[in-house]
Amino acid sequence: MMLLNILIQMQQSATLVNADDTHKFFVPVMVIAVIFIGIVVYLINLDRKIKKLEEKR
Amino acid sequence: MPVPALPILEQSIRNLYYHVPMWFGMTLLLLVSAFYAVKFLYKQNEEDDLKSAAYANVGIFYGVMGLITGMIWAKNTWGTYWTNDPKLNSAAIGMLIYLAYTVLRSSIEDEEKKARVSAVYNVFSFPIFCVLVFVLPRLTDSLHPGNGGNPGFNQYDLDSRLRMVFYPAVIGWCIIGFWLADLSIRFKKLENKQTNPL
Repeated sequence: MMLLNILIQMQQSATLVNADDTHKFFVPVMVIAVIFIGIVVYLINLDRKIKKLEEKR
Repeated sequence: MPVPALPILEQSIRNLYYHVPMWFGMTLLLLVSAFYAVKFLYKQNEEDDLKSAAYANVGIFYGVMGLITGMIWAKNTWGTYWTNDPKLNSAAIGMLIYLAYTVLRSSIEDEEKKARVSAVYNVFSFPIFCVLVFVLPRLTDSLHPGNGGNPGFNQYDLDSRLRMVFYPAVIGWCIIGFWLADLSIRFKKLENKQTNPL
């Protein structure tokens, strides 16, 4: 019985999950959001510096 | 694109396409930064110093992103944002080394002196960073995948499904990193041209 359980577990660990199984799906979503916010902050920063340069002209 | 089903990790395994390329991109950016630092020390060309600083800055940005995304991932798999794991701590120390680089740059007024001192610092900090992040954590036990007897994700990737997304993701994030650096290089060049026209 125990051996059977282990075998079933091994079988399960080799299967694949699709995106429609949403368990813990929010983690990569949060990660993408963080990176997106980071890049936007970088671009806003650059935008501000460029504006300063344009005003000097 | 389906991913291997693993307990605890579950769908968060998809972070592999974001968190890991951040560190790949960072290492590449810092390598290029160190390369331009060496080139500056050889040729004393101001432009190389400018490039070296820009690549280091984007590298630091990627590193901070890598740390934050790693913390989110850790919270949802290990149950805490931060553990005193050798991989995590040495990554943090590595980031501090490079933050000290930016402090060093902003604290020296004289342009020539700033370029020379920061180039030397850069050349020394890159190998130290590599040892901290890639060598030391592998010598001890670590929670982090791929370190200290803990398997990396390549062992879960039985039919290369992860690789099919992972490799393009790495290339893509590297290209974005180099583009960000290039933008700031072009900006600095314009700024220099305006402030001291020849």
